[in-house]
Amino acid sequence: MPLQKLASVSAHTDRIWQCAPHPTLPLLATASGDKSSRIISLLTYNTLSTIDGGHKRSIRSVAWKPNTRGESVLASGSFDATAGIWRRYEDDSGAATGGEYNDEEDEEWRFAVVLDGHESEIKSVAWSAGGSFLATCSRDKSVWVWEELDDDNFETVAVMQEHTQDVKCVTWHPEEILLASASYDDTIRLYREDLDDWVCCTLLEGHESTVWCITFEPLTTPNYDAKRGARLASCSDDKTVRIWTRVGQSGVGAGQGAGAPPSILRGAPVEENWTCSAILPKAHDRSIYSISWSPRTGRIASCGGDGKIVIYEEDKTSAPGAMEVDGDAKAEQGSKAWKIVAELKGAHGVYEINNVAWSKRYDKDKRGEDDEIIVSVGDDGNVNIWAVE
Amino acid sequence: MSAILSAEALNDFIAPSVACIKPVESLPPPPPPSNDLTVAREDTLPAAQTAQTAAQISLTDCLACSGCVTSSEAVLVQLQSHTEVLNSLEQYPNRRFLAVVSPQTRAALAVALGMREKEAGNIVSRLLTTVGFEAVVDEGVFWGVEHWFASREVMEEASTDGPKKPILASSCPGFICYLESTHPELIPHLSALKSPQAIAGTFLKALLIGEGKAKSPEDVYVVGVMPCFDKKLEGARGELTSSAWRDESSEETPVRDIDCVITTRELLSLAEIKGINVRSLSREPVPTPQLSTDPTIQAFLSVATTNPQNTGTSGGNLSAILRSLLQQHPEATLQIQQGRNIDTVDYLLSSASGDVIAKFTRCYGFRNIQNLVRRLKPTRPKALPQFGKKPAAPAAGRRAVKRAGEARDERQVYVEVMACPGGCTNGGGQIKYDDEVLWKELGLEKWGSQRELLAKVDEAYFSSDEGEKGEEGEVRKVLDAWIRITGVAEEKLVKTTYRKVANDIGGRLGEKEVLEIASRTGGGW
Repeated sequence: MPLQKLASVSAHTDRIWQCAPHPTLPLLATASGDKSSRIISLLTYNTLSTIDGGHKRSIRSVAWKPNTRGESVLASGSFDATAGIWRRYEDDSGAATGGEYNDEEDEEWRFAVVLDGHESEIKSVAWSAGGSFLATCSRDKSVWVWEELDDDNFETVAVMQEHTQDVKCVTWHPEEILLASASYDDTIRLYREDLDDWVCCTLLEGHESTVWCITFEPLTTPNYDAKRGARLASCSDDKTVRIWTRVGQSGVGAGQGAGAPPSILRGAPVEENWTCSAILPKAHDRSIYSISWSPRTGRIASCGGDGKIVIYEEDKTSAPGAMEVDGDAKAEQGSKAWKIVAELKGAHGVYEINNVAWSKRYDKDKRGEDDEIIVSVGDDGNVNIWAVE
Repeated sequence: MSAILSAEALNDFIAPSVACIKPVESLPPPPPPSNDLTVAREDTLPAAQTAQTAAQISLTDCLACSGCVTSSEAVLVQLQSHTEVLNSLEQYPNRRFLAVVSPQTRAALAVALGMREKEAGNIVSRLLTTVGFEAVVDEGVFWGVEHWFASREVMEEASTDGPKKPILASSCPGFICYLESTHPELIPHLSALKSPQAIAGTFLKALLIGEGKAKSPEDVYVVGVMPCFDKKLEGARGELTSSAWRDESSEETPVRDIDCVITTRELLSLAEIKGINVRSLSREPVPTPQLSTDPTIQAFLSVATTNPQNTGTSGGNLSAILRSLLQQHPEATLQIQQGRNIDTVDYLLSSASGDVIAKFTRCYGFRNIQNLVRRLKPTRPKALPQFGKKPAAPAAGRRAVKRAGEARDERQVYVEVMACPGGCTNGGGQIKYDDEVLWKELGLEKWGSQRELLAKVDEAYFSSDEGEKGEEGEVRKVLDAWIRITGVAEEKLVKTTYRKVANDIGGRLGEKEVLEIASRTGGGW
C-alpha cells in the first residue's frame, strides 16, 4: 500500500512542530519554530495566512476549537509559556472556497486572549470534545485545565502536578470529560473532575522512555466498540506504539477495594483501570514522535526521528473483544491483530518528522467523500500531503 | 506552593547545577604564604593548592536568586529539619529554646494519635520540654495580634482609594515567594504585616532580652512547628532577622527571628529519633514557665486565645476583619457567595440600603490564585500584533488583547490567599494520607484519600476548645507592655517588606541559552 505525495508546501523557514486539520473546514494550521502559525488550504494546498506576533518564542502546538459557529477559533501553545486564543469570522463560503477570503476585513485573525500562568514552555494544547475546556501542559511538569466562562473570559479550573517531569502531550476523550497527558517521566496519566476538583484517576506505566504523543480512538472507526469505549494510543522514545483499553466501566471504582466501606466523603469513586491491550509491530529505528488515528478507516499512522511514516491496520476478526481475555494473553492477541500496511522512508528527506495527522481529503482529485490524506510536518519546514493508494 | 515546594519534588528537570549561578562563587583562596613567585607545572602543584574549596550556598542565596526552586529546597530541607533542632539543642546548651506550635499541627496530631486536639497540644508541649525546650507557646496567641493589625490596615485602606486595594493576606509564605518571583508587580498589594510565626519570633526574642533573660537574639532559639514546608523559606528571609528590630548601633550579626522551622510530620520524626513514644506521654497540660514579669504578657503567652470556630483553616484574618467591620457598622449585612469551587468564597458587606460596600474573598489553592492574579494584573499595554498575509491596516472593531479572566472588582478590599487547597490544615508539612511508614508505625491503616483525612483534621481543628475570649483591647495592653519592656517600636514587631526576585519565568532568557540548558539536561523538546 504505497503513499503518494500529493503536495509539499514549503510553509516555514524553521522547523514545524505540529499541524492540526480544521474539524469542519478544508484548513490546516501549523505550529513552527519561527514563532508563527500558517493556515494552509486543503483544497488548493496554498498558504492562506500567517498568524504571528502573538508569541515571543516557538509555537509548539495548535488546536482548533470544535463546535464553533460563524467563526474559527485556534489555540496556540508556545515556548514563551503562554497560550493564545485566535479568532476569525467564517461564513459558509469558507467551506466552498477553501478559506479563500473574499473580503479583506474578514481575513483578519484576531489575537483575542493570552493565557498565562505556566512557568515554562508549553508543549501541547487541546480542546475537549465539546469545546468547553482547554487543556495545556508544560515543561513545568503541570497540566492545566481552562474553562471559557463567557466570550474570551477564561478561568483556570485545575492545575495538576502529578507528573515528575516535562509533560509532552495532552488530549481529550472523544465523548467523556476525561483528559490524558503524556510525559518525559515515561508515564501517561488520565484525569477527571471529582466533586469540584480535578484528580488523576489512572497512571499508565509500560513505556520505557518518554511518551511523546497520545490520542484517543475516534468514535467513528470501523472497529470502535461502544461497550469497550474509546481506546488510547501512545507512542514513545522506546520506539513502540501501544494501545490501552479501559478495564471495567467508568466510575465503577476499579481501584477501590471491594471491601471498603462506602463513604459520603469520597464521592463517586473516580479511579479507573486501564491496561495495555496491544503493542503495534515495530517499524521505527528512532523515537516515535507522533501518531494519528483515522476516524474513517481506523488506521493508525506514526512518524518519528527516523524520517519514516508507518501505517498500521487492525484486523477486526482477530482483535479481542471487550471482555473476553484478560492480561498478557489479551495483549498478545491484541498485538497480533495489528499489521503494518504501509511504510515510507525519508518522507521529509533527511529531516525528522515531528507530526502526522489524518484528514479528510478536499482537493479536486478526491475519490469520494470518505477519501482521506495524511499530513506530515518536519524539521525541514515543509508540510507534505500524502494519499494512501 | 506546597505542592511544588515539597521535599518529594527534589529531583527537578532543571538540575540545580545548571540553573544555579551561585556555585561559581567559591570561597576566596587563602592568601599566599609569601610573595615569592614560583613557576610550577600543573602536575607538580601540591594537591592542597589545587583543591577547590567547596562552594557554600545558603538558603538566603537561593531565595535571592530563584534560578531554580529545587536547589533552595535541597538546602531548605538540609538546613531546617528536626535533626537540625536536635543538633542545636546539643550544641548550644546555654541557649533558651522556645517553640511556637501551630493549631493546625495540633489538629493533625489529634487525628494521628486518636485523641482530642487539646491533649495533642499537651503532648507536643510535653515532648518538646522533654527534649530540652524551655517553653512551648501556641501560635494562635499571635493570630490575635495579627487580627488586630489586619483589621486596622484594611479599614485604613478601604477608606482611601489607594493603589493597594485589594490587600492580599501575607501570612502564606508559598504565596509570597510566588508573587515575589512571578508577579512582582503585585507586591504593592501585599499586606505589610508579618505572619503570626514571624511576629512570634520577634516578640519572644525581644521579650527575653528586655526581661534580662538573654543578652542577644542569639541566646534565644525559636523553633516553629508548622503545617507547611514553605514556612522554612519564611524563616530564612533576610527581612525577618534581628537586624530589623535591634538597635542600629549594635554590631551583632543578624540572627533569624525564627531559627528553625519543622513540620508536623518532622515533629513525629524528632520523637522517633529520641526514642520517645508520643502516645505514652502524659496528656496533662504543661505549665508555661515564667517568660515575663509582666502579668498581662505572661497570661497572654500562657492561654490560647484563638477561637477556631470563627477563624477558618488558615489563621482567620478574613473573619477577624469582617467581625470588626460588622461591629463598627452594625447596620451592615453580610452575604456569603460560594464561588466555583470550595476554595473560593466571596463575602459581600452591604449597607442598610443594600449596596455592596466591600467585598472580601477567600482564595485558596494554586488554580484559584491563578485567576486572582490574572484579574489584578494591569491590562497588557502592548499594541495589537500584526496579522494576515500583508501588514494589516488598522481596522475598526479592534480591541486590546485581553488577558484571560481579567475583570477587576473595585469593591474588593481584602483577599485571604493561601497556596494550599483547603488552607493551612491541608498544608504540605502535615501528615499525608498515604504516608504508609508513619501510619504503620502508629498502628493504623493508611487513609483512602487526602480528602477523607483532611475532613478528620478539619473536624479536630474546629472542635478544639474555645479559647478564653480575650477582652476587648487586650492585644493593645499586651503590646503596650511589650513595647515598654523591649523598647522596640510596634512597627518593627508587626511589619515587614517584600522584594522582587529575578527569574526566567516566561522565557526572558534567550532561546539559545534555554535550548542549551534543555539539551544538557536531556529534555529537548
